[in-house]
Amino acid sequence: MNRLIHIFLKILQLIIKKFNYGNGSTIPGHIAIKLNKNILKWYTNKLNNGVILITGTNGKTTTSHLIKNGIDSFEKKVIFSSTGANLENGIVSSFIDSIPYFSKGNNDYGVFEVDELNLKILLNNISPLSIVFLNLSRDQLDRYAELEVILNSWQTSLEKLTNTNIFIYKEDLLLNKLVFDKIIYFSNELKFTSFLKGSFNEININASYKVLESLFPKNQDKIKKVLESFKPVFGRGEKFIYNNNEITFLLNKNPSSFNENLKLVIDLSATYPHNNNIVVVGLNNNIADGKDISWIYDVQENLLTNLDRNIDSWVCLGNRYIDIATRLKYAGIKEEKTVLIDSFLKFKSFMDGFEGKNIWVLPTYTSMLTMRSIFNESNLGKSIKA
Amino acid sequence: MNKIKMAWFYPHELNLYGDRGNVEVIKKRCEWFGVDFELVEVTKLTNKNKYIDCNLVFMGGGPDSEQSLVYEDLIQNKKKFLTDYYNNSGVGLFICGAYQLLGKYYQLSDETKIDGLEIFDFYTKSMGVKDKRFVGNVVGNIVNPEISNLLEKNYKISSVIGFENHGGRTYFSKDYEPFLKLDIGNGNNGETKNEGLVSKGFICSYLHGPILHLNFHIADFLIASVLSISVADLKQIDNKLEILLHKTNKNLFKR
Repeated sequence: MNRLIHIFLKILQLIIKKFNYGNGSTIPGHIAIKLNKNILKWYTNKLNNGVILITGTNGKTTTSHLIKNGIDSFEKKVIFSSTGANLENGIVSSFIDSIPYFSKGNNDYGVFEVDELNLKILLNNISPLSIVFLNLSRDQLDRYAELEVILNSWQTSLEKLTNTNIFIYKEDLLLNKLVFDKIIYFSNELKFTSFLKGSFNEININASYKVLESLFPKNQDKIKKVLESFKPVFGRGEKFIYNNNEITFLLNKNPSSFNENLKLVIDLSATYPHNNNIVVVGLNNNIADGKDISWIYDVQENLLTNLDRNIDSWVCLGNRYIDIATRLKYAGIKEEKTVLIDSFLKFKSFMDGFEGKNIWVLPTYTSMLTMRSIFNESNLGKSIKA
Repeated sequence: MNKIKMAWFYPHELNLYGDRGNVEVIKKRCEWFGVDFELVEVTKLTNKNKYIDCNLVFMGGGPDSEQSLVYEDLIQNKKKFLTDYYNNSGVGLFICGAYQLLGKYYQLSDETKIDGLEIFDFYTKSMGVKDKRFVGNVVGNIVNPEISNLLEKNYKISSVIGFENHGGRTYFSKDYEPFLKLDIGNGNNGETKNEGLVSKGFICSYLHGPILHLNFHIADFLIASVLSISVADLKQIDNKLEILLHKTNKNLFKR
């Protein structure tokens, strides 16, 4: 029965891709789960080794890419959701894509990032090889429940597991409340020379190191080398060159990522002359960003004013662009330094007015997609390939 | 008197959805108006002498777990102060959880009742998972004709916008004046289109946003009330950005 569902949905996925109805990264999985709610178990049983899940408020995408790359370098086959679709339907869709029509295939691992509230749904069904808990902080509370609710759901799920390796970030006070037989803690103690900047990335790299070390013991040097060669992905430190400007995207999802990004840009921008730095904040409140934007007031005011000393102007974009401009005004940033742009289309011509600048783009998720596509699809800029 | 002394109750525990932004807005506008501003953060450990002479009280909402950390202190050590403060027409802004705590009781989904400060005769019922949370944008108009006319005359704005996110339904046992009549959103209980409560110097509301970030005219009204002057007597400052913000978002929320 599951095999029939699989074949049917593989064909559907092919059609979706062929006729450009989307990238097939969620719908086939959605239907598969409707047809058999336990289908993920059937799929994970096809793996030679097992599933590695990565969850937390920030760093899921980067860490899952790091681990996937690491496993690749040992010539093992990994099923992976490259689009970052992190609900069960996205994970099932990745399996539909990777498992052949009529056989179990030869895949060693599945590496997936998992949305915080969806972890318990997955763990009802499957027993992973490893789970990585990166951190837990406020993220779009209009969509997610309070942090304790998430933590409790994780604890309940953990109690069903027996042979799973649990990796937890040692310094996170909330995560430290999780109880399990064997927990492997990581911190930022190991130092790496990486293209990934910022202290939050040190933690992502350390987490990946511990996971990879558990899979491939006695290969520490090789693991370190692979991790250090890793380049930023999809709006998370990605760089573009346009009009001789260097544009750096740093995804802003919530107060903690906003704070971390500000700290990073404060450091990086300090090496350039003040009039060379421009910060672009893209604030959308579409569903994927969170409808509530009040979190911009949970950002540390002193980080905004510290960064203000290094930069020439703040560009405010997105459907809540006036909110971000107002927030900057109340942080004490001079109104003359803020530029309000009411549409993404105008952003393009705005960019034409600059040359040789460092542009630091801090976008929410959907504004990142739009701005990224401006540079990608119009072929205006040459992407420094990640 | 030309000084605002703002007491912010439980800044660490009751600070959800950017409520701290309200303090920033009051502080900055005072600076621009040339009004002295002092902030006292009132925690469980703060000596009463430090805040007894405050003339503006602010308290925000918190997640249940955090709210329970300060609940005992609030009821045992702050009840008399806040009741006297209200009776003496002190000015205050109470958001979400803080608003609920001013009532008679808060009834949990398992029917347990938690006593409130009993400054007002209303109660709040938590629907738990039985009914949906009220989450979303809110647009309404100020009910009190005096406040509404004053703000309309001076700012050409008498609407209030914000973002609500609460599982509790608040029901008045007495005939209190609501803060807003809503065009968009659920407000106190989703049945009446009423939102919040205004009584003497207190404004109580479910609105986050933060509320004073989206409604600078309410910030000015609070400041002028403390100083016992009209908003018209505040120093003229540049409000173009604040007006643009309120009007643009009001249209956005109505769509």
